[in-house]
Amino acid sequence: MKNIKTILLAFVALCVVQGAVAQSRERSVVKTDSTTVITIVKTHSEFTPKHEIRVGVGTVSLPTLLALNEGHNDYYPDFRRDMANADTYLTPRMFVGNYSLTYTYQDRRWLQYGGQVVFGSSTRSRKNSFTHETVANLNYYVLSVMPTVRFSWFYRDAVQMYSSVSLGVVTDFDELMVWGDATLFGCSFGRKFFGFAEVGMGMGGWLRGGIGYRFNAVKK
Amino acid sequence: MRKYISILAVALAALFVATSCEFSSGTDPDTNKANRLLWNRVQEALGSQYHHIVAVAQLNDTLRKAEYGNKPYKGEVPEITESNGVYTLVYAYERTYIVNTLGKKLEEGGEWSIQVKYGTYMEPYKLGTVKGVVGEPTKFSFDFADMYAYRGPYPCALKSEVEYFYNVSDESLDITLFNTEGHSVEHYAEDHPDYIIEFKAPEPLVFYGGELYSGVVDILYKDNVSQTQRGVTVEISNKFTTFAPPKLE
Repeated sequence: MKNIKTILLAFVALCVVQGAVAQSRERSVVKTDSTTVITIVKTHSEFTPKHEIRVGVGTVSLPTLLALNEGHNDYYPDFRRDMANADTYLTPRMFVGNYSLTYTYQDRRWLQYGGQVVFGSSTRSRKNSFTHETVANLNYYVLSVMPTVRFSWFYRDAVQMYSSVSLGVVTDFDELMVWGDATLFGCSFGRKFFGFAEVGMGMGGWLRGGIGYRFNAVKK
Repeated sequence: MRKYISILAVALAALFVATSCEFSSGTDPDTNKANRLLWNRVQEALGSQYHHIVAVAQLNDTLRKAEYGNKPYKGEVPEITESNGVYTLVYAYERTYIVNTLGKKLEEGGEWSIQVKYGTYMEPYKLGTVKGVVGEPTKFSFDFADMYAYRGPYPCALKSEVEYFYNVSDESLDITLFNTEGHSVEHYAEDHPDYIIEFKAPEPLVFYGGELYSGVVDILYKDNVSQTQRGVTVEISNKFTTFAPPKLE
């Protein structure tokens, strides 16, 4: 049973690859008096440089966990501080996502470069125990700006698979640090208007997804 | 265009729901939290001083040769040695008291000076003085004013009048404190504390078997940084505690 499954998967993979490869084949047949010459010419459509803008959301990642989850807490007991806060209570600390805006320019099939901005946030408030009114907002924010390079290792007009790496700065509006991001595996579906899903590490989160728009660069 | 905006909004909303999560839980509203914080501090102070009171009572009973049977105390019994009127009480090397009785018993109106040492390597701290009442073998008053003789993060000073009885069935001392008052500060505050907790017991505090059984304590908390204060009156009955608006000014 296991062997049958393996064979079926290999067959499906071959069909997909064959189908993808077949898009770029042209076949011409020339008949002469005594021979028939079949010429198969493999061609690629001419590549047009493109601009690409993406908007995405990511899950929590290690750097955002460190920056957004009570990283500023003072763990030493302080009776005076406890008394000052005794008439209040805390709401749960909620992570509301990593939001990214990415722009890249693609002048080759396999290479895109540009930059991304990622914003992450967690929210919490302190409320009065008697009146339930908010007495303080304890929200944390983190913002990163990073140049990005993306490598497409499978390129078709409608489907692309890629990896990327980014390195830049991140701030929690208190300190500035150098940090990075990497997409280990990403996949986009669509031509001009597309969706994407990625697995990565760094500021963007472990899992990311979103939508984007591509448009041709204006020829000079 | 409107279609694309709608798709964008729905997609991002779905992703937002999928990626949001709770980092840490919150706390529940507790309108008695401040009262409990203050009472816990005062209880801690009373509990720590209780050991000193028991030590004085045990030495007093030894000197007056009180008869309590073969095993007078269920709890710790110190090893007592004497040299030139100075008695040393050792509680399994955790606490050692050095009591200078000046040759007088408490029921003779004696005034004792007490030092306490914790562990085996620390220097002794001067705890304070104990004064007996003439003709009253189980009554005395104490003034343990040296806050830094308290072993713990929150030093406290306490003075009170004591009457104790030996509880035969429990094999322990039942202790009643009268006219108790004290105060407590942060350990490292020294001369200018950020806050001070003052307390007074307008009614006797009764301890059975080492536990506070009944009494009333008025507590006043003064925050010297924010220049605010708050108070609470704690009523203890059958070991249960209730909080009432403060009477202490």
